[in-house]
Amino acid sequence: MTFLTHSKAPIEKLPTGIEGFELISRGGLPKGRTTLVAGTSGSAKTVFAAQFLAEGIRQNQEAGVFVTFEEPPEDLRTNLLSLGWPITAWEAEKKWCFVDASPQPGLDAIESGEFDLGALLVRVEHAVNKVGASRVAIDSLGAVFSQFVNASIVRAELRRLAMALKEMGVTAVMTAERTEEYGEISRFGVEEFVADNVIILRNPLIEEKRRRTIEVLKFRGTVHQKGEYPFTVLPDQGIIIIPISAIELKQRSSQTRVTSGIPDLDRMCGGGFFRDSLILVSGATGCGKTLLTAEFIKGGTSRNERCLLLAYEESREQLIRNAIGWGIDFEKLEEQGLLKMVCAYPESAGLEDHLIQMKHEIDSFKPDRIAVDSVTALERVGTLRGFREFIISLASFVKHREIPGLFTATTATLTGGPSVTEAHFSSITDTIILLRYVEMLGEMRRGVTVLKMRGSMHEKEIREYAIDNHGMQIGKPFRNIVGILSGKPEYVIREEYHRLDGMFQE
Amino acid sequence: MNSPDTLHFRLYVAGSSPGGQRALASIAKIRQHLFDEHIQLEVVDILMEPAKAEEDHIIAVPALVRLSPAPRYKIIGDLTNAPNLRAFFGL
Repeated sequence: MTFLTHSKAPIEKLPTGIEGFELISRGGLPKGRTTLVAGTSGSAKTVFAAQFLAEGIRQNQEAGVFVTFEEPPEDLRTNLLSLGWPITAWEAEKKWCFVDASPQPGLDAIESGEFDLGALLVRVEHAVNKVGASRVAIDSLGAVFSQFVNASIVRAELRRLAMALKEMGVTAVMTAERTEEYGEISRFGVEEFVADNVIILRNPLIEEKRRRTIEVLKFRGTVHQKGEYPFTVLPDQGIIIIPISAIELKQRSSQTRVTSGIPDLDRMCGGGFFRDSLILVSGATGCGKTLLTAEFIKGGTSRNERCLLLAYEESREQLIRNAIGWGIDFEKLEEQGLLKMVCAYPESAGLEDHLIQMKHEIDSFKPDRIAVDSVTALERVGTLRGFREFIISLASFVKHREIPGLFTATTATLTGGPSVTEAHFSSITDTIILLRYVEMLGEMRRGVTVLKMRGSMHEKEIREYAIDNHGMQIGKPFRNIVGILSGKPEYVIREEYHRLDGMFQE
Repeated sequence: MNSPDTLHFRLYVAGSSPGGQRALASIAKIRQHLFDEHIQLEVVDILMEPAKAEEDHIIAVPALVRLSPAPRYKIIGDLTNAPNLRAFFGL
């Protein structure tokens, strides 16, 4: 008997070093193969191609060859320097080599008879051997076609180039133009010879905002994450991909409790917040969310925990002044190195950039607890979908650090009511605290309640609280009043209250 | 020898490929119409001298470059398309 065995070796992947890419591609680019990177104009194709080489040099000392059909090397050196890649120095160290196939100004070639791109192949091979390159970037295929009249020769020759790259054993990316964000893969039908691996970069305009995404369309014979992932291009860093749904929820769940900063609130939560929990504080403007944030920080710093405060609604000066009014000295805590305040104007950057800045602050300060006041302020920066991805990514990032994260959300109206932040956030938070205005007999009072406390018993009552120069003072539960949460509090006479209370008892 | 009306050419070929041979034959034909001493032709084999192809930014072969008199001209292909070629040599 004979058995047919298919014992093909699995396709090895080359880690690119591009942040987030290994997650969505499940390990990097297929090694020893060519990947087509297609995108519309301005979709960061050249950056991707160059970063593929740059990270190879920076992280693994792998040399690379950059074949340019479009921009002359002088322009690329200047442009890529702004992303923090010292191309000229790398060229001197024989880590980076250009093959300049850009059009020569004033030297238009006349075509007369048959030709092939043998010289290009020779030059690429020569460059690869010269620096011992294991990575090759070709930018862009469309620009090759525009240099020649005879497209069928170019197509045949590019196929030959792709074969030659395979024989050389290098891992390559070729960029190609697209005319639409959602349409055919590329122009000139180039995907027919580099069709095994296709990555698409998009840069659509949605609600007057640009939103960059990357999609691994296919990797023949190997797995990858499906769908579009947002990314951003940052100075000194290049492309950073935010792998939303590739994030794994594998954090452990801690039973250790930490203080909220207010002993009474700790009691309401059944003994404090869990150490690795996400806490959402919801309330109307001015009802005390920033105060609760300050108390949360005081609670941490008084136990020598490092606290990071990311503020998007108030300036540094305002925060300091407000905290002084509640008896908390933020400036002194900063001097002691226990607190770091980062204040940013929401509109100063896109959501992806905010997220990366937040991650950067968390990674560099290494806080023991973090507060974001308020998440709602960031709602207006991005699209609804973008905001949702932002929330999930931020929450997961904080959760991975196994530190408590307190996030505030501003309700749509003064009496409460759902906000976009809460709609997206409430299901992934462990604890929800509501702060509400309560109008009672012509007086405005404030109430606090713990709506949700995952994994723990908590008090169900709505307690009144006051704000004075020592911060938040939680008092007794509201009695004889219903409809606080629905925003329509009604006073109930004492006898009626007892009657309602007894109604559901057997 | 280097009189002002001398034409300097460089022909890039890849080894002894048929395209390169055809280009050389075409040039020989043109030369019959011109005084030989007016044409200086240098043949560069890119397989032997890849660095030279780099210098002149050659990606397609065969390629004929007019080095002097200025301005530079470049013509690619096996030069079998006669009308183009004759114009290139100023005929």
